[in-house]
Amino acid sequence: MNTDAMDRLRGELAAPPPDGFAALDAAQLEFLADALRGRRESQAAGLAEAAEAALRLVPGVARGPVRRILFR
Amino acid sequence: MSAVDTLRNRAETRKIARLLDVDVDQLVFLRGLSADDVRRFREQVVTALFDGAPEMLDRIARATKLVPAAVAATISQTALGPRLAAGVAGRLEPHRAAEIIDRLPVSFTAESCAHLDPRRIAGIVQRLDEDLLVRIAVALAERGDDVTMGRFVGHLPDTALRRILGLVDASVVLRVGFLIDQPQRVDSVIELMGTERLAAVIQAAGDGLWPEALAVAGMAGPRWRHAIAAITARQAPEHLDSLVRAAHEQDLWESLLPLVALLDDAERRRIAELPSLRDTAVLGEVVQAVVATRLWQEFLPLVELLPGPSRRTVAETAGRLPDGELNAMALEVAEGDLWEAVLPLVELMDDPAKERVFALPAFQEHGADQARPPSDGLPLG
Repeated sequence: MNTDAMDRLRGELAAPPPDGFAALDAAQLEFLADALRGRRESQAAGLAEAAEAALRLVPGVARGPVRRILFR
Repeated sequence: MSAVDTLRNRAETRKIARLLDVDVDQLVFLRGLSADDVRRFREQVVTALFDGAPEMLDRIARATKLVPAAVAATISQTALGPRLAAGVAGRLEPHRAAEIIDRLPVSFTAESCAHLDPRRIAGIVQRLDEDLLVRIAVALAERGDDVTMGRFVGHLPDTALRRILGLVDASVVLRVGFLIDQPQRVDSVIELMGTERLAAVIQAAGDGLWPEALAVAGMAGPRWRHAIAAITARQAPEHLDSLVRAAHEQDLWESLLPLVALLDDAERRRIAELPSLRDTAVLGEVVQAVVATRLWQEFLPLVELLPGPSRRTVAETAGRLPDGELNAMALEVAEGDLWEAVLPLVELMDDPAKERVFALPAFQEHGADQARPPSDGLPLG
């Protein structure tokens, strides 16, 4: 049964996959869910460090407000 | 799945592979699904990835508004890098994103473009200087980033497109056309190219890009589809042979046969005389594809012009079809009033096959009168 895998993919998409995806087997649905999860995790990777680095480039006068927005 | 669907599915799968950062071969299982389902899934992936992005991207975007565009550009390039900069740009007002992009090196912007939310492209592109757009497009072409170009090309103004078309290779035009996110723009892109450049692009299809060319022809409107068919038919025989071989190997007859049907007799004869259409394996597969896709109306005019042995192969293959498929053929022949084209083919079948054809309900109802010579009233035999 691919019900669990379909539920996982639905969760990653935050929407039901197109009807035709019911024809995929559990491993294939899991692969898509894993890839989507991995992609979202990589989007978040390095963000905090990038924000710190960005702050160092902000002119002194704006640094306080920018810091509050970034790290409140 | 139809072949047109096959090519659309293939393009959609490439786009999903890029979004998910996986090898396209790992998504081969999507090829069994309809192209519409795969496209809808791609749209869902875009929504999930870009609407569900980390909150920190929003914070950086808000903070960026507090600094001059030049500083924001430095931050993008030095602190964020192309991927995060694209994530931030997708959260800015388009005019602000355009102000920052304007101050970035083209190579950086081109790399960033690959990570930009596809839904934000139109708004940003409208606000960028045309020279910059052209330079970004050329940089993308040099990077071989066809998927990203396919996202952008439909949003580019005609004046920029015309310049870009003059600066990139014909093979790039085909590869990007195959992946274009706005197929409704294909006609205007071809219009901007003009017939001479279109011929050069079709010539380039011979370098392993026939599927891309067939996909573009399938997206074009009637006028340009006809022009593509006619220009293709004027290619050298070895070039056309490679097209037939590609259709054979990749099961793309449903994309190719409707183009052949648009040709005049002289053009169609050039196709009929190709060495590849004397290959029994190729011909056998064409017949199977025609049966599966109900393209007898498109196929029979070509059959009429095939050399004798090739026509006999088609006749023998058709004569071996199960009754249901043979009857479906007869019905389609009746619908298109194609008996004149199909009866000479029946003549080439062996006697048992002929008897099966004559016994078909569709033949009894529609074709028997056509087959009966006025002199003796007997079926052809």
